[in-house]
Amino acid sequence: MSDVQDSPQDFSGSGAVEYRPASARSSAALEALLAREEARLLAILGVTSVGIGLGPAGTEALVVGVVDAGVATRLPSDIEGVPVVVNVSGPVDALRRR
Amino acid sequence: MPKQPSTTPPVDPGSEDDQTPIGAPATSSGVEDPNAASASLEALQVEADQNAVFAEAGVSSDLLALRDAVEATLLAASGDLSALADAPSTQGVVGVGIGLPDPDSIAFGVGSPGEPTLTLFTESALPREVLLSYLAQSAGTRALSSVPLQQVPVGGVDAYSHRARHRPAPGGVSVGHVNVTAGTLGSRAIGLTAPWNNRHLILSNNHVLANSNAGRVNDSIIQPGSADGGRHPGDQIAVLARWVPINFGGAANIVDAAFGWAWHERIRGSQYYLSGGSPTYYTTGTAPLAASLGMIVGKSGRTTGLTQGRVTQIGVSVNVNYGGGRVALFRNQIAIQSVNANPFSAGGDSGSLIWQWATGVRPVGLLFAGGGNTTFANPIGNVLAALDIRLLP
Repeated sequence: MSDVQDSPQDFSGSGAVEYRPASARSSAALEALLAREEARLLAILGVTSVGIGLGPAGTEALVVGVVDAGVATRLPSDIEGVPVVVNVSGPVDALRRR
Repeated sequence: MPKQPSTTPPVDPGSEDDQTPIGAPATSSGVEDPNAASASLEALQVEADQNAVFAEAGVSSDLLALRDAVEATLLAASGDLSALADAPSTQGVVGVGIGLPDPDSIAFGVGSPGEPTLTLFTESALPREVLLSYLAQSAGTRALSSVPLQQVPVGGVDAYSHRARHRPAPGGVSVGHVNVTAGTLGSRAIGLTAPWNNRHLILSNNHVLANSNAGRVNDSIIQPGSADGGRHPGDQIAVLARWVPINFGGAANIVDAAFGWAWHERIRGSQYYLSGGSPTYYTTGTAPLAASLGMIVGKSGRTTGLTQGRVTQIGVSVNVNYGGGRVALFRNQIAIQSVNANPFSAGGDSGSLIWQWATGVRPVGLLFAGGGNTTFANPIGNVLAALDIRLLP
């Protein structure tokens, strides 16, 4: 019988694991639009995020997160007819305790 | 030899572990626990690394010696922080560390800004004389008046708190890699494939359990996290086991996730929150639910406790700051805003499990970032798939 206490533990499968799903999105039209416009919008200074949300009329819209309200002047009011809604969230940080 | 859940005897932590609360071995569970000896060896390396960091930061050996003396007193008093309030020798001191002066803390002595400072974590704000008396008792007579000293009241650790020490530790309480301040224990989980399908795991973020890619397999994970007075080895509940690396400044990320391999009797499946000051537990569902716009969700977290929010965006692409100038792009995320005047989350809530506020309490997301009024979460289905686990609430 082997000595259980002294034998090395089985850490097989531990460590860093890459996660690259083939497609992280569904194929909805708005998601396709977001995928096309993501890089351009995120490249605008002060833009932190872009997602699919609801506009004032209750219809789906592109929601653009910005660090301050001044950034809104650099954004279009709509993209291909889809309204752009600005959400002033400030910088986005990982939420470990500061 | 392949491990069979039904026949393999449990490997319980060795006797050097001073906090195992139950004398009887967990014969009925058959769940495999980490090896205490190897975990401690690894932790010694972590401690050596930490001391090297202290040396580089100009922390004097006197300060380190004082820290060690206080720590020895705390460990001698009890391995169980919740019992310390009853032990007169600790005088309300619940933890010790070395850090930079913190604007939230109460500073004494001659420390100048930026100078390494002995930090005493206390149940409530104590007069300077009491702290000096405590130090003298722990470390003998030294030139105590010259020690840069601060105290950080962390609340009564035997009072009910998300930041307290919990055994067994539920979801919703403070946790972290030894070199991380603190985040939230999201949920108990279990692996889908061997050998991890016979081990109890704790789910949280990479940046909470794996120190944003800097952690190594078998590193110590403590509850509560270091910012809440948790120390290795007395507060260890798990060892770092698996994480999804965060890609900084490159390809988009999907999840900020990791799990630790826990001693099964030190954790529990339920979630914790305070209801009118009383500890209350609930159990989430297991089947992931995709977020949809307008969905009402909740979470229990280390900093803001139980909160309610509404899903305001899905499919979000967001750039997240991880400190030190590191920014990571995340795609296909969930955005949540509070339903009332209180924030849905704040720093320290990272790792919280987000669930649908409805019958079934189905898991929806893993909280990891926030800015202003908006909280961001990874879809829980992606988290579970990435780590090859399921929840074990």
